[in-house]
Amino acid sequence: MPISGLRVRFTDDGDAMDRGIAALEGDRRIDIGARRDDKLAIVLETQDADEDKAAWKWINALPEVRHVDVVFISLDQDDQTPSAAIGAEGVKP
Amino acid sequence: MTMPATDRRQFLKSAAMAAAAGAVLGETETSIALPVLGSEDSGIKWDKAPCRFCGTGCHVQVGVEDGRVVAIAGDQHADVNKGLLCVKGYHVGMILYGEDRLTKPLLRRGDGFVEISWDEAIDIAARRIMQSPDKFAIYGSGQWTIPEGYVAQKLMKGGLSNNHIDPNARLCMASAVTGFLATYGVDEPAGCYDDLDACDVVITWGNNPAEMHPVLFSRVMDRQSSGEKVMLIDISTRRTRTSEVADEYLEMLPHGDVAIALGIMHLLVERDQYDHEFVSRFCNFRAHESGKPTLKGEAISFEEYKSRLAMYTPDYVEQLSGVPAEKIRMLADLFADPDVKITSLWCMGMNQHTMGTAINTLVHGVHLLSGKFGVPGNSPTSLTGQPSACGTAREVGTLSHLLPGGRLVANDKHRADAERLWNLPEGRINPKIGFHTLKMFEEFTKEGGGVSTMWVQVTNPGQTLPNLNKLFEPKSELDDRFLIVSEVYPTATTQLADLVLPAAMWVEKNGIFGNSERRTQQWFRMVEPPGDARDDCWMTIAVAHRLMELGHPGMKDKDGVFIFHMEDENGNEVPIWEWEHYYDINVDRHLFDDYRRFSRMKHKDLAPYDEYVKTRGMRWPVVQQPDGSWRETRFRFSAFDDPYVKEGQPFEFYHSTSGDGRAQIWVHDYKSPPEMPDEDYPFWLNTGRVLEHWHTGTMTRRIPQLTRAMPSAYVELNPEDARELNVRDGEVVRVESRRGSTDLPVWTRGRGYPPRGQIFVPFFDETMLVNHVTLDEHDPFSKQPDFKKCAARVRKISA
Amino acid sequence: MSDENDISRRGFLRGDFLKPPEKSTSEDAMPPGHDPARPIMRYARSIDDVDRATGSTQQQRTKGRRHIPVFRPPGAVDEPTFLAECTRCDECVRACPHDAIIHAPSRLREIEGTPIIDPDRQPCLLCDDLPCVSACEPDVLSRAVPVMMGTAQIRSQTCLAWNSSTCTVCSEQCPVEGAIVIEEGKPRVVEETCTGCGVCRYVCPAPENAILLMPTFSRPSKGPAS
Repeated sequence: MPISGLRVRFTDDGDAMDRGIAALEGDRRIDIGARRDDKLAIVLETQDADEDKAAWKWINALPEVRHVDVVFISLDQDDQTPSAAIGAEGVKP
Repeated sequence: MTMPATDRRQFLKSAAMAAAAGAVLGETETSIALPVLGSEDSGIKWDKAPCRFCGTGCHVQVGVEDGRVVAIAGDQHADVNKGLLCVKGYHVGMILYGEDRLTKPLLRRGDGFVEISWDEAIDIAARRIMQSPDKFAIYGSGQWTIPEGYVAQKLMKGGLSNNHIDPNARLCMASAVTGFLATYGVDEPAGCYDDLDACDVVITWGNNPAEMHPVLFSRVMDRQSSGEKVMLIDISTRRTRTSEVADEYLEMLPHGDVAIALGIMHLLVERDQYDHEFVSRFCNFRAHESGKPTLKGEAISFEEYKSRLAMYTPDYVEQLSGVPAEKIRMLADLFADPDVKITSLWCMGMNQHTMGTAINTLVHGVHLLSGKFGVPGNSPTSLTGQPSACGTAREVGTLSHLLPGGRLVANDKHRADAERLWNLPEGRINPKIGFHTLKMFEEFTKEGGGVSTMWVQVTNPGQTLPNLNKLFEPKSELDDRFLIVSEVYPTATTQLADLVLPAAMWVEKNGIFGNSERRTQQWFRMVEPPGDARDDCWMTIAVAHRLMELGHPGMKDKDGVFIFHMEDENGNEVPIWEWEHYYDINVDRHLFDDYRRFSRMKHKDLAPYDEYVKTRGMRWPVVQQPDGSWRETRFRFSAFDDPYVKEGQPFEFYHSTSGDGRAQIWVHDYKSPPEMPDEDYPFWLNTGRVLEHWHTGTMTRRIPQLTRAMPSAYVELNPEDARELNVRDGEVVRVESRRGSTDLPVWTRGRGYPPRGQIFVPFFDETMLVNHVTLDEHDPFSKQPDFKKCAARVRKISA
Repeated sequence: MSDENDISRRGFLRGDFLKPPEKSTSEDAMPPGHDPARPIMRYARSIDDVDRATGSTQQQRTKGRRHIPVFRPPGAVDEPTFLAECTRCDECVRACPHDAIIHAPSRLREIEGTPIIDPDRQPCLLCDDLPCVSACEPDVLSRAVPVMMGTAQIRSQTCLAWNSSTCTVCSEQCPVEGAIVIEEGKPRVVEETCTGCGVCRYVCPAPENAILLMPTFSRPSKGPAS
């Protein structure tokens, strides 16, 4: 189950950001996070890589969206290890 | 504390959000890759089961992999919950996996226990019973499956000619039963949960479904949030989570419900706004006139009824109940409005009540008088607290005065009927009513009492009986008493046990429950019980077989055949008393199909076992159609849905106590509670449940998430009372009554908000037993004790 | 932050350290006909499973990572100062009456041994007198720095109260008055008041934990001496 942290930049077209957020909020796979200026943090959770790609395309294609940056991604069966937000993980001393 | 594997994804999301937020806020940049579990969901096998907890009867889908329950989902195909679950429901699978499951039979040796074999355990139990079969009692449960209750019932009444069998439902639903019997002549609600989808007004009478029946409550809340107008009126002694979302919160004094119901009736009659058509065609009036009061009462005229109500003016009702007169008028106006559909809900608030039968009949009466009955949305609906209080306690009749299918021990014809169905010699069933719960424990815990051996199954009286210092604790002083306890975990009850039998639970065995709305629900065993734990049903059958070997004549029917004789498809006897053979056949199926023969007399018709396998439960009467299919009944006594209503009339109460097809509208006078606050004990003490824990917490307190969410009991105190007592939140205080005390931390900003002079303590916490404080006064008909009110005081412990 | 540092998604997916999952979730992952919008409670199979899930024994990857946000004890100064001046003396760890402060494990490399809080294990209960701060001799836990370990966010998708059920646990157990408010039965975090102590996340009983907890990304330096 891919989970990605994305930074969405909106166009400067009036209330583009509000409309964009409304569109994103309607999707259960998306969590809305912090916003500043024209940027918004979101988390996207999907069932598989194809769906992930499709969702990313959909977000990119929203008229209010200027650009989407990937700042975090987690896919499957990798030997990489968690290295952020330590506090949220069950650290074993 | 371990983290569930599922929280892994949550962690990943937190990390992803942290990284994304960092990028947005321009404070850092992070790019990380994290692994997730790939194959966690493969190979899971799913099957249906009703939830193990409350009486709502939600269905869950149980996911099993490698012999272990690994996932729970709300069952999308279940009418009751349509895929939704409450917080307990999602965690129900973990009840099987507490670290201290009982896995071996244990025999008391001094202060401790020694492990013994099952053969020894069954032999010891049987020999104890053989010593004096008439001094043996079974204390059972509304959590018994239907077959478990049925075998215990048959062992006692049909085998040992002993009626000392009673369930914990006596503490829970008995007043609802007497209320239904006195009103309709037959137990259980006429309506069902569908009423909640159709009503305009919901009235909760001393009921907090937001916490206790959350999935049912959500049916109403969901209608509200989708824009439908549903008015919620909460009548309660303290503010609860239900009150917080109610349109009207009517705070009443304890016992105020009786006055409020009388006040509504008074106005309907006085203003001539009752439903003349419904009342004149389908109702009679009843009261206790003279002599020994009975559930039939005496007929009174409408004029007498009216004159008895005359004193319950809105002003007088305000005086008795504390609810403003104008609100009594508001309630009466709603009942008087023919265009408003009203569903009343109640549970322990009206049942654990020294006027429990009275208030149950009065609320039915308000609905009958106003004609708010028998149409979807118009219904007086009593909810149950246990998953099979209806199915096992009430329908199988595992109470000291009942036989299966609504038959009475004291009725010659009913006994003869049961003897015929069970193929027993004439006169086998004892005509004398057995001990009800409180009496049973009194007899067990007093010198020379009438019970010397007691077998407790699927319940925890050491925590739930009222006034434990009188009714339970003295057992430890009496060497000649023998307590057998079938349990899954160590409890307050096993602490005093002499023999502990480790039981299989929930989906470790086959089972059938019956929920609040007459819905019978079947499930199959999905995983093996741990260690040597075995089915309760098997234990009862094995003890019965051992009794037969020891020569007890009652263990054979009139043809000399074992009373739990079962055959396979080829007609060969299966030795189900041997555990190795217990699952050679489906014992539940045999027992249920035997039991269902009892269900038709009172028109509680059950379908064959195999029909329930196919469904998420069906509501009785389930009647076979010309095409061979089986049809459930949602609305009893209403011609449009109930096939037993005589043709040509819209309603028929076909078990009427007056024999004329009519229901009874009762009038009872308001009486004060038996113990009220005074100078020495100035607080009203109320007890009950909380959302996260179910009953005595033996299951839910072993689930880490639920324990974290609600770690311990507390005493809920009004902030001003706390200030006056000079106690702070979290400070441990002593709560005491004339009967005992317990120490609890104070919580003033908790779940409920009691008015001044009232305290509330939940009973789930075995380390803080509030039932050392409660009162064992009970309703005269139902014998159900009142856990909701007694006089207590709160004392600061530190100087 | 400039765009040239952003990593495009395409590039990410092509990266040799990441492979798409070999198979998508199997059909057995949910009961037949289950509404994917409804949560499924999945339990740990065994202790091993939990270890596997938390990846606690695996090696970390350092490439591309520049900064690790962690939950520091209350009053922690900005991260560079903290790392430079914390003596790893253990006094705060010992002072914590709830054992909430632990040593960062070795897989966190350069911050190994420094004091962190893991709210899933034991959240900070925000003692009135903050003994950890009192115990800190180098003053990298400082009374001059407001308590701001992070922020909680309620995920309405998984929160029971936001999904037709009743639950008010996070607000009841939150040690900071007014940080989680209940509106029409549903909780909301007041971000300005929330300290990120993590109690809400620790107690959340939802089938999928409904609290996203984010560590503070940049904490203030001590500022002018008070």
